This record gives sequence, C-alpha cells and structure tokens, in this order.
Amino acid sequence: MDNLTGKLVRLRPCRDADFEYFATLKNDLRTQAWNQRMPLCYTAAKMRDRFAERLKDPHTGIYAIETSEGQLAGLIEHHEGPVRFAATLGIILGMEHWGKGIGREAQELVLRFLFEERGLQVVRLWTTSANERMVRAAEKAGFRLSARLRGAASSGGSGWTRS
Amino acid sequence: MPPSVRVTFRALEGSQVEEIWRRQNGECRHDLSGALDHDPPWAPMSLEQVRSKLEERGKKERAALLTVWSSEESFVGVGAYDADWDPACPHLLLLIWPEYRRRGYGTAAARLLLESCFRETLAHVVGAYVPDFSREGLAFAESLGFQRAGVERRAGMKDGRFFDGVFLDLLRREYEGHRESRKGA
Repeated sequence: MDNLTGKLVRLRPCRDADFEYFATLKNDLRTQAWNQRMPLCYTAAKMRDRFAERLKDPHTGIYAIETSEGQLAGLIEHHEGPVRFAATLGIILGMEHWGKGIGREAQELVLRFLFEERGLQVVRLWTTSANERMVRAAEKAGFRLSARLRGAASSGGSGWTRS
Repeated sequence: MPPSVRVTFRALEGSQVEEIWRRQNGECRHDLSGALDHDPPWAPMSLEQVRSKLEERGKKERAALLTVWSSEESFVGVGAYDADWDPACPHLLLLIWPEYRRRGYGTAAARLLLESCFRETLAHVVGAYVPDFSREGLAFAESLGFQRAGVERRAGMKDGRFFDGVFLDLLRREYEGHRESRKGA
C-alpha cells in the first residue's frame, strides 16, 4: 500500500496547529466518542501533552485525518497490545464531515495498515450502544459485535451498554 | 459451600510476594502472568520482576490487590478489585491456589468481594474476565450470578491455539436477587 492516503483522505502526523481543533472535538459530547467521563475543558496544550505522552509508546499511532482538499477533519489512533497480535482503534471526526465517507476511508486505511503491514490477528473497537452511527460504521468496516458490557457507560442521563 | 468456610482479605506483604513468585514459576504461571501483565506469558518471572509488577499495580487509583486467608491462617489465593477506569464498573479478579480449590474458599472470597463492591461502593455493575479454556472458571463465575456479556475473539494463544476471552458482568439488581435467593434457600 502507498502510505496512508486514500481517495478522500490522507492520514498524516499531527501538527501543532491541529490541537485547537482536536480540543474542540473532545469538548463536544457528540464527537468525543464513548469516553464521556472527561470534563469538557480540553485545551490545545492539554491535547498536545496527552498525545506526546501516548506517542512515547512506539506501538501507538495517532494521525490527523485530512481531506483531499487539505482540510483537517478529525483524528484516528491505534494502540497495539499484545504487540504484533492485536490493536484497539479509536476515531473522532468533526460533525461537518459526517456522512461523506471520510471516517470510513480513514478507518479502512488504518485497518489495512494494521492487518497487511503489521500482520495483526485482530483489531478491536469500543463504543457505546447509544452511538448507533459508530456501531453501523464499524459493522460496515467488517467489525463484528463480540461483546456487550452492560451498564458500562451513560449518555443523556441513561445507562448504556458498551459494545 | 460448607457454611463454616470463612475467608479474610489482607493487604499484600513481602512474604506473600515470594509465594506469588513461586506460584508464577510453577502451576499458576498462565493465570498469574495475565494478572501480572507479563509478556510472554509462558516465561518464568524473577522475584524482582514480580515485585516490580505488583508495585506498579499498587500505584493504580481505586484498586486493591488482596491476599485471601482461610480461618486456619493459610494463604489460599489472591483477589483484586480494580475501579481505576470507572468506579461505577469495577473489575474483579480471583485466583485460588490449586490445592485449596473445591473447598469453598473461592466462593467465600468471591462473595466477600461482591459484597464489598455492592454494599460499600456505588458500583452498579461488576465485571470479570475468564479465558474460554477455563471451563471451571466460567462455571464458577456463573454460579455467582455473573452473565456472559460476550467474547474478546483471539485474546491470545495457548497450546498452539487461539483462545477467546469471555467477558462476564453482574448488575447490582441481579446480585441482590441472587443474594436474596441464597437467603431463602
């Protein structure tokens, strides 16, 4: 495969200018994925520090998702464990980019990298049952629902299952 | 479980670290390698490695590593409570040394752990994880009221085969129902 570039998106290392946007995504309950425990007070500096800490692990990858027009759309990350065996994937996409195939292609690029270039056996992804859009996107990408942890998260004041 | 079986939890002290190291180098290698986050799981660990892993585990917030003791003052196994990720959803781990199994210590220790979770904390669900090759472990968890939540496919390899990890969970209301039915029995 030719790097992490598809028809709609390019995955590239994060730049300093990206963190303001990433903080905005983390401060929006609709886009901060299933991890809704965090207070909504992220700053660009906090995001930069968190990423720098996580990237000390050589088996973690964090990429900015850029559209073919060069617009920053979100981020995607993977963490291997056990190394060369399994990885967990996470994605956050700005709402203005939803429904355009951007997230699907970004996910596909990373999955190809992990399975074909890293030779992994399995890639995992966690979300909540409240995030139906993510569940559908994961299933389209070939993920199979393998577990539902009951009462593992809450959303809108209600208990939700993490699957 | 014989009604007279009682266990107590104590904090982990130096002499028990040596016992855990001895077990990891013996019949409990696979179980303890998982609990100690040791890779490769088939390799024996040095006493220093075990100590260091236990110290690392001890730094987690809202987590406890416990030693399980019989009323005869025998060190019969280890237990762990881990609510580092989310205090509402703690994760439990229990390992009874092989020669003490089938005597009621596991059940007594598990009930004590569950009682602590649901009576002393705000947990609304408790989780556990058992590899699918451990039929005994799965049957034990289900006997306590845990339900299978699903599997983690290809969780690892053992004896030349991939194995799955089974997620189990127990909701507060299910635990309370289970508890009441035991009282009534």
